Amino acid sequence: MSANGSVYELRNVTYRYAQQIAINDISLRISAGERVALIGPSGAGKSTLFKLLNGSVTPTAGTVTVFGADLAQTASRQRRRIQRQIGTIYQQLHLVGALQVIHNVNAGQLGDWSLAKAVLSLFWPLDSARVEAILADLGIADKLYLRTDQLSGGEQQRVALARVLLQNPAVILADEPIASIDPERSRSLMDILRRLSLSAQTTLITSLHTLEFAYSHFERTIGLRHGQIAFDCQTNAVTAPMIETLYAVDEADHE
Amino acid sequence: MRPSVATTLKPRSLQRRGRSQRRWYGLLFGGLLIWALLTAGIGVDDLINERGWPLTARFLRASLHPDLSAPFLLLALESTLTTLAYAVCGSVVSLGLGLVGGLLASEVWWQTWAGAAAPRWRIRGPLVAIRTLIAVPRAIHEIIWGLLLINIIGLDPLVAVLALGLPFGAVTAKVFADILDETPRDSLDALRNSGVPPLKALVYSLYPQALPDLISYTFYRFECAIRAVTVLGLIGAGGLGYQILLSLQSLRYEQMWTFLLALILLSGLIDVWGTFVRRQYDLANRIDLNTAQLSGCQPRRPRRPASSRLMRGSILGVAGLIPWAFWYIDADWSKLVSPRTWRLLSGVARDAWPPLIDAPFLGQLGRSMSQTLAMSILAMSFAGAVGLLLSFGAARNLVLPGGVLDSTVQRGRGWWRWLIYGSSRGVLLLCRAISEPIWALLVLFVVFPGILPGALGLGIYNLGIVGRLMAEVAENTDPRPLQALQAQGVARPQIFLYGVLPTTLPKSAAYVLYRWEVCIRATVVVGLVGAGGLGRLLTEQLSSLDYHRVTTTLLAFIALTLAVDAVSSAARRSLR
Repeated sequence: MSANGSVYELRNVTYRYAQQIAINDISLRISAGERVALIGPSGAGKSTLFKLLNGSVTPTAGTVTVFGADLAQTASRQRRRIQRQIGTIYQQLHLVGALQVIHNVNAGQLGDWSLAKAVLSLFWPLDSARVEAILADLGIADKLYLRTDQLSGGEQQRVALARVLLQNPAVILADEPIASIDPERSRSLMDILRRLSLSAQTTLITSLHTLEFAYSHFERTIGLRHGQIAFDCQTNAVTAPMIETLYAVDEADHE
Repeated sequence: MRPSVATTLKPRSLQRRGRSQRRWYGLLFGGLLIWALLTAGIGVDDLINERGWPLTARFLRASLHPDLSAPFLLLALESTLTTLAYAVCGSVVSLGLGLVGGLLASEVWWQTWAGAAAPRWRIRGPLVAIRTLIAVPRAIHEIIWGLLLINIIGLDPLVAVLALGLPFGAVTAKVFADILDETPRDSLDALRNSGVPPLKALVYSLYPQALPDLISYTFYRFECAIRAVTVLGLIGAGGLGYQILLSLQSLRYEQMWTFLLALILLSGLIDVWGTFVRRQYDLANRIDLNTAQLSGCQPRRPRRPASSRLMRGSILGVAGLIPWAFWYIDADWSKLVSPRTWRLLSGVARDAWPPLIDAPFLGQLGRSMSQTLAMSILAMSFAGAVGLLLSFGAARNLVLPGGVLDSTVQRGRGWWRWLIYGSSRGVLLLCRAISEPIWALLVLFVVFPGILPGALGLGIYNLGIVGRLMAEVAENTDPRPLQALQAQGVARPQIFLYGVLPTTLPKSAAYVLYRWEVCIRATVVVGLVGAGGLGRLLTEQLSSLDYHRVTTTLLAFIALTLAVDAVSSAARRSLR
C-alpha cells in the first residue's frame, strides 16, 4: 500500500470505446477503508469506471494507480497479484452456471491456488468447511453441492457475494448489486458489506440506482454524468438540487 | 444476452438422479471403448504396416509440388464444377422434397387442417404415418441409395442427384417440420380465427417467421451436399471424389494433391460464405441446427443493414447457380418415368421381400454389426478427444490477443496466438474437407486393412466437424464469468479449468453423442473401401444383386441405428 494510504489514484483518466467517450478526464483519490457510493444516470460511465478500477480495461489516456502501481505498466504476474486484492460483485453475477456452488465460491481464492490444487478441487472439493461456513452466514449452507444455475436469483446473488467474501480482498467493488433484488435482501446485502468495511477496513465502492442506501451506508458520494464527475463530497452534503441536475434529461439524450 | 438467473428450478432429487445417471453413462462408455479397442485388435494383432512409411513420405513430399500444369488445372476446374453442380442439383431436389414433406410432417399443419375441435387421432394418425415414412430414406446412407439406383437406372447423372436428394430431402423434411412446430402460433391463430383457409394462413404467418431458420438449414445442407458428392464420386458419379480416388489408386500423388487442394478451396469458400451470411443476418448457427434446438421464438434483427449488398449478391448467385447446375450435369430425366426403370424397380421389390433369414447368414450379420458398432465408437472417441483439444485453439474468444486466455495488456505481441488460431482452424478445415473413405484409404498406407483404418478415416473426418462445432460452443460461452475471474487476478490455466471447461464440456460431449448417430450411418462409406462391418456386407450384396440379403442387412442396420439413437439421446438428456 502506498505511503499516503490511498487505494486508488486516478489522474486525468479518459476511456474511449470505438465511437464514444465513456469516461472523460476524471481525477480522484480513494483512501483505504472509505465507503464510496457512485451514483448517476444510466450511461454515465459507472460500469466503465468499475472496469478501470478492477483492471479489466486500461485507460485510453491518463493513469489509474492501485496501491501505488499503475496496472497498465505492470507485468501480468504482478498485476494479477494486485487484482487479487480487488473483489468485484457484478450486477449480472457472472457465475459459471454449470459448476456446483462450492466451485463458484472457491473461484474466489483461485488466484492463490496452484494449478494442481485447482484441478484436484474440481474432483475433490477442497476447503469445503470454510465455504460452508460462509454460505451458512448467508443462509444458504444447504446449497453447497448444487449446480449454480439451479438456484434462484436471490440465492445466486449470495453465491456471488460468498465468492468475494472468500477472496477476502482489500477493496470491494459492487456494480449495482441491488438492482435486481427485493428491498429486504437489498438491505441485508448492504448491511453485510458495511459491516465488513467497518470491521476489516475494507474499502467499499458501490454504484447505486437510488440514493436511499447512499445516505444510510456510505460516507462519501460521487455523482457521475456524461463520463465526468458532477460532484464528489460527503454524502450528507448532497442536496436535492444536486441530484436533480445529476439525473436531468438534457437535449443530448434526445439525439 | 443470456439471463444469468435460472428460470427453471429442478427439484434436488431430479438433479441427483441426473448426476448418478451421468456416472452410469460414463462407466458404460468406458466399457464400450475397451470392448471396441479389443474388437479392433488393438494390443492383440499387428496393426501397423511398417513398409507403408516410405509411401507415406512420398505422399507427403508430393504435397510440396502439386501438379499445376495448365491442362491439368483445367481438368481440376472441370471436376470442381462437376462436384458443385451435383451438390446444387441434389440440394434443390432435397429442398423441394423438404418443403412439401416438412409441411406434411408438421403437427401444426394437421392441427390447422383438422381444426381445434378435432379428435386427437385425426392429428396423430397421419402425423405418425408420415414421420415413419420419411424415417426410412433418412436411415439409409447416400451411397447405398447410389448403389441401389445404379442397378435400376444405370449409369446416369440422375443417380447421383437422386442418391443425394432422397435422403437429404427426408432429413430436411424432418428438420423443417420441427422448425414449423416450434414457431410461435399466435399470428397463425389470429388469421385462422378470422376465417383464412389453412394453407394461406400458414404461408402468411408461420413461413415468414420460420424463414430465417429454413434458409440457414438449407445452407447447412448445401455444405453437407458438397462432401456427400465427393463420396458418391467413389461409385462413379464423377467430380473431385472420383478423380481423387483415381489418382490415389494410380499412385499419382502430385495430381491427387491438386484435386485435394481444389476440394479444400471449394468447401472452404462455401463454408466462409455460409458463416458470413448466417452471422450477418443473425441466423441460427450450426450447433442449433444440428441439435435441432432452434430458437424460432427469438426476435431477429439484421446486424448491419448496410450488408444488403451481400444478400443481393447471394440471391443473384443462387439464382444463377441452379439453372447452370442442371444444364451442366445434363441428366436424363426421362429415365425417371421410362418403362425399363419401372420394370427393374418392381423386379427389385419382388426380390427384396421376404428378407433372407438363415442361421449362418445371421451369424455373419451379427459379427458385422458388432464391427460397425466398434468402428463408430472408436471413431467418435478419437474425434471427440482430438476435436476438443483443437477447438480451444480455434475459438476466437480464447487464445487470440484480447481473448480470455490472453493476459497481456499491451497489444501487438501476440503473433504466435494468431498462429495457433490459424493452424487449428486449418487442420479442422482440412479434416472435414476430405471425406471419410479418402481418409481411410490414406490411413491404409500404414495400417493393415480392418476396423482400425475405417475408424480412423471416420474419426479424422468427424474430428473436423466436431472440432469446428466445439469451437463455436466455446465462442458462444458467456464471457462475463470469465472476465470476472480475470479481474480477480486468476491465472489463465485456472480460468480455463473453472470458467471455460465446465461450460463447454457438457455441450461438446452432447454434440459428440449426437454426431455418433450420424457416424454410425456413415460407417457404410468406409465399408466401401474394405473397412469391414455392415457397409462392406451391403456393398457386396448390392453388387451381386442379392436383394434378399440386402433387405435383411438394411433392417439390421436400421435397428442398430435406432438403438444408437436411443442410447445417444438418453445420454444427452442426462447432460442437460
